[in-house]
Amino acid sequence: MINQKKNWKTTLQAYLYLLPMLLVLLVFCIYPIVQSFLMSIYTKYDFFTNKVGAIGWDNFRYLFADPDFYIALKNTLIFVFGVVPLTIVLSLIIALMLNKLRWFSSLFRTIYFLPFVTSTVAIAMVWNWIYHSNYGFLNYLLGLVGIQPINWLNDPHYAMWALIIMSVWKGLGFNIILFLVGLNNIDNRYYQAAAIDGANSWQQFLHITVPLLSPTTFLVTVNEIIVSFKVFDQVFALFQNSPGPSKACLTLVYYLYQKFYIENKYTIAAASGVILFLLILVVTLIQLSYSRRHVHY
Amino acid sequence: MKTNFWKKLITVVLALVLSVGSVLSTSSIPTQAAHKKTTIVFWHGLNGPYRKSLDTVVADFNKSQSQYKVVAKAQGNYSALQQKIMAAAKSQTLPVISQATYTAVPDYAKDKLIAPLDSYLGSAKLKGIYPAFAQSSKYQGKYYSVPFSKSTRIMYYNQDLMDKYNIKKPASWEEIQKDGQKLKSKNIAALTFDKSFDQEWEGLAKSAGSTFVDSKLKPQLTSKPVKNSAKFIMNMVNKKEALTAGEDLYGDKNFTSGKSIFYVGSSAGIATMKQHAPKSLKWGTMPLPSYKGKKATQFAGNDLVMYKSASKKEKQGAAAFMKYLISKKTTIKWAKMTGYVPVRKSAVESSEYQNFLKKDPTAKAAVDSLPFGFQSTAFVGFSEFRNDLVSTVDNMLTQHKPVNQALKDLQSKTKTIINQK
Amino acid sequence: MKKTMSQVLLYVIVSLGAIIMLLPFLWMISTSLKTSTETIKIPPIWIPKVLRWANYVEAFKAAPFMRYFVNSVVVTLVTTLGQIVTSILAAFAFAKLNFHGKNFLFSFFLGTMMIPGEMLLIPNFVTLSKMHLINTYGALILPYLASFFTVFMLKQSFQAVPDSIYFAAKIDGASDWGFLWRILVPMSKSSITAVTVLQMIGSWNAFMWPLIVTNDATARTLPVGLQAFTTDAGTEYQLLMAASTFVIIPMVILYLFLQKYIIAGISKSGLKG
Repeated sequence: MINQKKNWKTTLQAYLYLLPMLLVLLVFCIYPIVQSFLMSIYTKYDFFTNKVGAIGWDNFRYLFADPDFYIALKNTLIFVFGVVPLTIVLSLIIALMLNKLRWFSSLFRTIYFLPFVTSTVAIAMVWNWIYHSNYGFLNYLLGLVGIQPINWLNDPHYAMWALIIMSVWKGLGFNIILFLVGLNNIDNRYYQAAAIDGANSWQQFLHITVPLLSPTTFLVTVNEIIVSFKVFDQVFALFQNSPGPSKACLTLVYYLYQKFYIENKYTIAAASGVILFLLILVVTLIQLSYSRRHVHY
Repeated sequence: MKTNFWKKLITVVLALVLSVGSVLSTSSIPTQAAHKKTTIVFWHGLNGPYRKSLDTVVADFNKSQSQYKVVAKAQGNYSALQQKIMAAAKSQTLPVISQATYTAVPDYAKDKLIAPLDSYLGSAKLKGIYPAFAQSSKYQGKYYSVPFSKSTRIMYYNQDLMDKYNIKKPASWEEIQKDGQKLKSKNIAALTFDKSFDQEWEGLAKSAGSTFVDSKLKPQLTSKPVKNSAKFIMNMVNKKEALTAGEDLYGDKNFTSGKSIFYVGSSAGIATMKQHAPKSLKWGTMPLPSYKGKKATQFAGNDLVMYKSASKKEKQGAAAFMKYLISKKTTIKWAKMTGYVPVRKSAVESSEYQNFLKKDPTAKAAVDSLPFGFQSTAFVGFSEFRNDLVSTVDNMLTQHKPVNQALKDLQSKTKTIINQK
Repeated sequence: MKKTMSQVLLYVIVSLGAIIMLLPFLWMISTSLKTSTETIKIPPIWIPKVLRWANYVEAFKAAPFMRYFVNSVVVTLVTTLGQIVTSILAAFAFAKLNFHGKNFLFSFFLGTMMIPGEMLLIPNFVTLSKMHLINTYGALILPYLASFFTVFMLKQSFQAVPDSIYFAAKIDGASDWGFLWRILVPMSKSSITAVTVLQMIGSWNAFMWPLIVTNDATARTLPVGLQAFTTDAGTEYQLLMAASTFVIIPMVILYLFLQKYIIAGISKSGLKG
């Protein structure tokens, strides 16, 4: 730290630096969050005139009695447990491989990162076309190896897979880069020392790479989990403004969107947002406490 | 390295700024001229050719006016339009008028967003408008909307395939079912629905004696007519005698690629069909056939509503525009350009429109359907009901939920929706 | 020998993966150049007999895409620039200054990152309409002039700059302000570039917010225009793919141009963990 002691003068100076950010976040982030949290306990509420008749826990009671909410909760968890491990394992493996390449490594890095820069709305349209049951490219490929056409977007058993595959494809690149950076930060001397001790590459991976990469892995995991819990755009665009066949891809944020914009149940939507926030908070805190014990900084 | 980086960054920024500048200077959007005229802001969800046609009609109106100027703003599509209206209502920045489905009227009226039109439309009100349209414009005894972009469900047929397999234009749904059985061995379906068949289903149910929700706001989803017609459709779909559009949303792809001989869709789809069907394909349109000896087709499309928040002057201007739109002359012109149906009987019977039908026979199916058209019962909470209805159809199609169970669930949900408001 | 074998195997696997990553792009471009009938041919054709550039013309003419493009460019540039400035200032305070409430503020804002953005749309819409900014660039830009994620990344990279440099600068007579802009920022330029590109990608691709706050072509951005176009194009996949292509390509080009700074930058910013 530049200034060692904090006093009113340094505090004033610091807040002047923070001021622009604080102003924007207060108006466009904190204030609406407070509003939404308050709205979640309004029970008799006129959304358009902002008149509150009564407050209570009815909105939360509604959620816990609504089968759709449980579907949304279940789907969100399936999505998180599908996407997060897949993304992390795949991006770690690919990063390890790219790290070993002698030529063209930057070309490959570019290619693997490319999906990340695409617009979700645009690329979901492309995937929608790839998944098409009659004319889709994916079913054609599967047909070449003798697999019957799959109705990816209309069969509730496959819709979630379709969503997960697209999300992993789009998210891999960013995580690969993070892992590559993490790998480059590991001092080569550790590997040299291990090689002298006669450790094979698997042992080296297990005892050097894994522990020394753990801060990166931790960061990637936390970030991926938060992002995956909030999944919405992909569902909205891939299933063309619907939550998938028989609500197979109704996620929590989609539920929130549907309650708010289609069914006009504003307070219920707000309550579901609060639940989602608490859910993410708890998961993140668990990860933090785990990392204190297991991540090697 | 260092200079190289900044150089690159500067070139990128410069290039972008230059491209912005050059484009802005050539294609600036005309801002609303202030003048002395009262501006009537009009939000709609029309796109492509429909949007262009609307702009023509609006320009005509503006030319005829010294007091008012209508400014039409496209909001993308209907669901975006609905979202925007909600946001605008919350922030009190609503337009003067907008498109809205008649089923949205009860909700808007309950939230005190829209104004009754009775005192603005003058004594003639909706005289001469097709009774079904006029009736659906009314809510709790007052007129809240005027019919505007109205369409009906019609049937498209593929003449080439009909000739090939010796199939006649069906007079009844039962005949279509028989055609389906006959065609099964040929690997062609008789019929394609859109992604959801709820509108055709309600049509069949109506023919057999009941709409989904009756006029006394009692849900009838477990009644015999509703149940049997759902089973009738699901039967065809399960046996692959009929298809649904799935990820295509609209069944025209299945139809134009020869996967089915008939397609039930909106009459508003004719323009798209003309634009995109292969030129070699011989196709035509006809009104929906009968079911259990009766005909019924659901009217769809949008009405126009006027928002309470507008000033008196704006409301008068809006009413003038509405009256202009439903006048005989304009509704003919609008129908000819877009394929939507004229809202007045006198317009349909006019020689101008009849001549048009002779030149363009595909438009005939929709107007021929007018005498047996009907509208669903609208009520507060309809958009929630409609959401449940579509997911019920979806459950039956994709999850193979048994019809009886699906309808029982929908019935109880609908009861809750109607009672809670 | 064994080493060469493993390198060959490595290249085979990595190339296969690369093909999978690229396939959707190739399929998109290939479809965008077909006729309607060619799109539904089985087996699929990769290179159509005649390249139908007319699809692009038709898609482009269906909506004022040029105007949307300009809007996207302006909004992306201004948003990114503004956000980088506010984030540099805030990151400096968090990284180098000591003040009351620092830890609380930091964790508090970290917590806000767990809120789904869809929840904030309507309150923000109301705020902006009170400012009379709906349907202007202002509505698209203002809420995004600060992002705690960016602050977080920059803070980590500022912390990596040793304090001794600061004291040396002080002796030479530099103020805090001068130190920040003349020494700290240039020293962190690769991180700043990296977050800039990430931010540009996010801003270019934003969809829900622009959809809600724009009413006509004055301020509407490309993804919103694309969404409206899908209704119009219906099932004409060649048109949809043509439109998708020109939404996606600008960011791909920007990325190819600046990619080497991204990896260099991320390695110096907070994301190294």
